[in-house]
Amino acid sequence: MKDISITVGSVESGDLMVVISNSTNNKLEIDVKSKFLKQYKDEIYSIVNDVCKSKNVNNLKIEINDQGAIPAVIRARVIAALEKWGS
Amino acid sequence: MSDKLKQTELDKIKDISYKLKAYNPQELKTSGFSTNKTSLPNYGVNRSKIVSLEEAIKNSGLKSGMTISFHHHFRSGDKTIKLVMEIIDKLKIKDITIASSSFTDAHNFLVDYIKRGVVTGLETSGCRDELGKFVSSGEFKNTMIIRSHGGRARAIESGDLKIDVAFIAASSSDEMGNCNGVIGKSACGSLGYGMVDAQYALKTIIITDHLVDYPNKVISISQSLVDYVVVVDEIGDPNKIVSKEIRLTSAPKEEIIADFISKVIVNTELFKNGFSIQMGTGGASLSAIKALTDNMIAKNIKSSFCLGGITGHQVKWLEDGLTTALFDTQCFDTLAVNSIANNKNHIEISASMYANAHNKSPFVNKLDYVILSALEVDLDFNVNVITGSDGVIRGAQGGHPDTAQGAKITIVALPLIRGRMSCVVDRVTSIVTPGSSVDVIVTDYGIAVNPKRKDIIESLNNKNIKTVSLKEMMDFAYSIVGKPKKIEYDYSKPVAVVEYRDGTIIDIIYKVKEL
Repeated sequence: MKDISITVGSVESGDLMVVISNSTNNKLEIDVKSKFLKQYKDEIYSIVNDVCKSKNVNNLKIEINDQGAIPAVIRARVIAALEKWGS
Repeated sequence: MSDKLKQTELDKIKDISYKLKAYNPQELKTSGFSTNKTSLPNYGVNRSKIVSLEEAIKNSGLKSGMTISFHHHFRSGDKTIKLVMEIIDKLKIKDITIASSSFTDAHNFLVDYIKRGVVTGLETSGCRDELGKFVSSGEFKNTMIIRSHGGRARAIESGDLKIDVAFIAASSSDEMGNCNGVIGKSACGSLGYGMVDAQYALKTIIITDHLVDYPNKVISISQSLVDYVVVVDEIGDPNKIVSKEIRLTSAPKEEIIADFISKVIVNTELFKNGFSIQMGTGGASLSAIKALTDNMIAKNIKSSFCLGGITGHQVKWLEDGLTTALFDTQCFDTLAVNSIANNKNHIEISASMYANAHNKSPFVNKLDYVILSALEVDLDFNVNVITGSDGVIRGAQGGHPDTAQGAKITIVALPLIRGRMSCVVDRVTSIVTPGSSVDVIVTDYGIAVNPKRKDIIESLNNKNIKTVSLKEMMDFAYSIVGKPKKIEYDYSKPVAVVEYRDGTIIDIIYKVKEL
């Protein structure tokens, strides 16, 4: 188990920052902050969930600070973050 | 008194249309002329009107439940409302309605006054930031009234908006209240909004940080309209007049939009010597000025006048001889402030002259072109400039609907995608300017012309300029960002009404369920 966190992305408009660290309760914890939660909350969570499922990730804490990224960017950033964590 | 004219004698005279009232020094007649004034102004001779702010407020007769007004010429740099509200609070006056020409982020402190019941009414052309959020959250008990600049002037003149006490920040004043916004350390330029308030309010208090010897040399608001003059340390910070909404950028998206705007203008028939224009303050419309200027010089075309909120770009036109006059209700930067102080062809006009639909001829009706920004537009060309796509109040209508209706060609410019939201939508969150008064919508995706303007479509077709439909724009945007979930409102709680320029209600803004 790593006791560090890794960060991918930026807090620029149209991008998002993904921070991954160990889960405190051995579950997948997803926490999304976004100006667009009202309009895109379900979609953002489902993208992150799908990526985690496809990579068999189920005990990490994934914090997302979204600045209005489109789905493809969200997916790419989360995949990149998980791969960075995995390596 | 034996020499007193008997009222019964006067009552016998029938062929004068108004009621004749006999002279009585104990009971002076008040004017029935104005809808607002029901008491006599200061009768007799008064050689100085200087008092402290507290005295002015006490003497004005301000009581709980009354309406006070302010102008927002200092925009984010305004300090006057705070000064006045502190004294009102200290005097334990409650239940005040504030009718400011607009609210900016300088007025977030009002949330606290609202929570404590000092302020219970808000009437404005715009509202942003914390105050906007607060109103949208439904915590504001009453309903805010949102009017255009022309609509506000109309409401004041008609008596729909009765101002008990007008507080007018002026960058210089003499002891009798002759004042302006162009002299002094806190010059803000035109006092276009304050002019209307001063004329119709029951009591008018001038607040200045620069007292000049009598008589003041530039009179924007005259002593004949002023009850008290208050001298304070600072009325506002002119450096904050330029806000983040007003900027010239070189962002690629805005350059593309600017290019489309200038294409529309130079290729329509109205673009000829003597054309008139209002250019707004959005990044793209400011960028469009450069292309427009090049075209004017190349074709040897000059404009007759520029209108509205004036920026340094129009000042440059005036100085370079590309326009003959600027009519200015509100200076948007320090270049404009300097110009209105020094150039006689840069003319200060009141908000009523600018845009009141019910006077005999507001200046907006002589506009050929207006370029406006927007938060959202919809497939029917309706425009929203007041609520964000999350339903929260965060904008200002300003002269939007006034100029849109008045101008011969109304161009609304906005990016197709802002943040993650498509700005072209099925139905705008709130309607401020009806689609019937919007002719062209320009985004970075292309130019869309209102189908009813066949003449514009033909002009552009003749020059081989491609147009697209709003539906195409929207579908393209959604293909990238995805379709958003609809905002949920609590329809039992209207938080604001949006008044169209004639006083009718064009939309209602409701409390958002999740803030």
